[in-house]
Amino acid sequence: MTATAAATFTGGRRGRLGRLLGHAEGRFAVALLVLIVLLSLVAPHVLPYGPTQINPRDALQAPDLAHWFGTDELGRDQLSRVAAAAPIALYSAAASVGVALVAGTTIGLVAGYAGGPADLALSGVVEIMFSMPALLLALLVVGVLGPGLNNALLAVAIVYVPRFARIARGATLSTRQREFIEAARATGCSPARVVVEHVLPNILPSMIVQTALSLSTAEIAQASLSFLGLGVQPPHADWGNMLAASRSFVTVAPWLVIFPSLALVLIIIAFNLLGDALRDVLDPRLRTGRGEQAGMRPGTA
Amino acid sequence: MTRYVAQRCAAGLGVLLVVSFLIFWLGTLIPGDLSTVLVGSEGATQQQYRELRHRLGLDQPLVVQYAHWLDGALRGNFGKSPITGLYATAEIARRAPITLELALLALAESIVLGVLLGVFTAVRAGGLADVMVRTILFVMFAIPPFVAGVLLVLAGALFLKPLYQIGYVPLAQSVGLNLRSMLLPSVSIAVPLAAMTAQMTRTSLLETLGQPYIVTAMAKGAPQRNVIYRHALKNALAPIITLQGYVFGSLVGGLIVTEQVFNLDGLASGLLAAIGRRDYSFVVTGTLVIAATYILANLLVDLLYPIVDPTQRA
Repeated sequence: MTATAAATFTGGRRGRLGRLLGHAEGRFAVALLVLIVLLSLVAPHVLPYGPTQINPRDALQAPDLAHWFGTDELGRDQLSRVAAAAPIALYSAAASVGVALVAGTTIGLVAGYAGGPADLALSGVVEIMFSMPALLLALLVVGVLGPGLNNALLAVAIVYVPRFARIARGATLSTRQREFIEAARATGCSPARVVVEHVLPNILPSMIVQTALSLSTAEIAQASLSFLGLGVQPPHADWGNMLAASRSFVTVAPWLVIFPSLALVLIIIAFNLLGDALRDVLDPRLRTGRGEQAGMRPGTA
Repeated sequence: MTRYVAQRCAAGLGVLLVVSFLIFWLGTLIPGDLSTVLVGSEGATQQQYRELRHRLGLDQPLVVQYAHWLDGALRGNFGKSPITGLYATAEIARRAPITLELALLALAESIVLGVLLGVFTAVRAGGLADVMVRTILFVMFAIPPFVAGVLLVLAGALFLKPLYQIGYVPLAQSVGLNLRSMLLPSVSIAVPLAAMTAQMTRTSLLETLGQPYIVTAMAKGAPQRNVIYRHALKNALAPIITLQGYVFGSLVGGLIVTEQVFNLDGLASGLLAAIGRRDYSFVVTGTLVIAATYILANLLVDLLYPIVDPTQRA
C-alpha cells in the first residue's frame, strides 16, 4: 500500500503515462494488456489451425502437443478459438465504454452547464435508467436490436451512459462555480466554447477514471450477453459463447470450460488493475479500498 | 419518517409507471410482433395477419395499447400470454419463489462470507494472511457469475457430488434436496459479491479501528473479539449496508445468467424466453416485478442507514 502511494507522489513531475508505469499495479496491468494485444495479433499468423476450422476426426481431444488447449466437439482447436476471441473482448469492452463515455459526457456537460429544464429532463432520464438493473436493461435493448456483437455492445453502451452522465454532471456543476469560468464568460466566450475549452478539460480526469473502472464490468456484461446467446454469434468465437457451448461437455471435456474461463478472468483482472492504477494516478482523492471503488460501479453483470 | 417513506414510495411508483411505458415502447420497435410469432412467417395471408393483429389490439396506437394495459394492470390483470395461454401473474407466481430463494441465499452468503473475510483481513492488515486473502478476493471479484457457475458445475460433477443436485426441488417437497439444488447456483452469484463486501468491510473496519474509543476499549482490557464485533463492526456497518443497495443490481445480473447455467425455471429465465418469443405481457410484468424489487431494496437500504448510523437521523 505504502509503496503504491509513494509511487503516486514521486510521479508528480512525470507525464501521466510515466506515472501509470511508475505505479506497480498499473505497470502490471499495462504489461498484461499489451501481452494480450500482442498475442491476439500474432496468434492468427502462428497458430496452425483456424478458429472456425472444423476437423471432426479430432473432436473432443484433451490438451496435447498438437492442440495445447484441446479441441471442441467439432474438432476445432481451442487455443485458436481462445486467441481469436481476445480481440473481440478488447474491442467490445473498449467500444461500448467509449460510446458511453462520449454520450454520457455530452449529456452531463449539457445538463450540468445549462441547468434549468434541460437539466431536469436529462437527469430524469438518467435516474430512470438507473432504476433498472444493468444486465436486465441490456437484455431488453438487445431484445429490440436483435442479437449480434455490435448490437450487444451498443446495448452495454446505452446501459453505461447514465453513470458517465451522472459523474460528468456533478463535475460540471462544481467546475462552473469557479472563477476562471466566470472570467471566460466575462471575456465574451460563447457557452459552447466555455464548455469545450474550459469545463471539459477539468472534468476529463474523472471521466477517464470512470472509463477505466467501467472496462471490466462492460466486458463482463458483454460476455454475459454472449453466454446468453445474444452477443457474438457462432461459429465466431467469444469466451462467453464458448462457455455456453461447452456447458454440455463439462464432465467429458473440462478443458473446454477451463481455458475460456481463465482468459476471461485474466482480462477482467487486467482491466480492474488498470482502473485502480489510473484512479490513483489521475484522481488520488478517490483513493480508497477496492470495495469502495467497487461500490462506485453498481450493476456488475 | 412516515412522510419520507410515502414520498419515496410515490417516487418509486412514478418510476415504475415510466418504466412500464418504456418497455411498451421498446416492444413496438422490435421488428415483427406477436402476430408473426403466432402465425409463423409462412402460409398466412395479409388478411389473416390483419385480423389477428386487430384481435390482439396490435393495430391500435401505442398510447391506446398502453392505456388499455394499464387499465387492466391497475385491477390486477397484467395480461395473458397468447402463446402459453397463461396469465402473466400466474406465471410470475410460479417462477418468483425460485428466483427469490436464489437471490436471498446468494445475498446471505455474500454478506456472511464478505463480512467474515473483511474482518479477518482488517484485523491482520498488512500481514501475510491479509495479503493472501486479498489476492484471492481480487481474483474472486473478477469471476463473472456465469463463469463461476460453469466452473462449479464442473467441480460439482467431479469432486462435490453430495453438494450438487441437478434440477430444482421445491422447498415444500424437501428442505435438504432444495438446499442442495440451490447451493451451487447461489454460491456462483455470491462469489464476486462477497469479494466486494469483504473489501468494503475491511476498509470501513480499518477506519473505525483507528478511532480513539477503540483504543480506550482495548486499554480497559475488553476482549479483542468483543471490541471488534461489538464496538468496531457496529460502527463500520453503514458503508457496508450502502454497498448492498448497489450489490442488488449485480445480483439481478447474476440471477439472469445463473438460472441459465443451472436450468432453473425462475423469473429471469422466463423473462429471457419471453423476450425471445415476443411475449410482452410477461416481459413487461416480469421487468416491473424486478424493477419494483430493485427500488424497494434501495429504499430498505436507505431506511436501514439511520438505524445503524445515528448521525444520519433527521
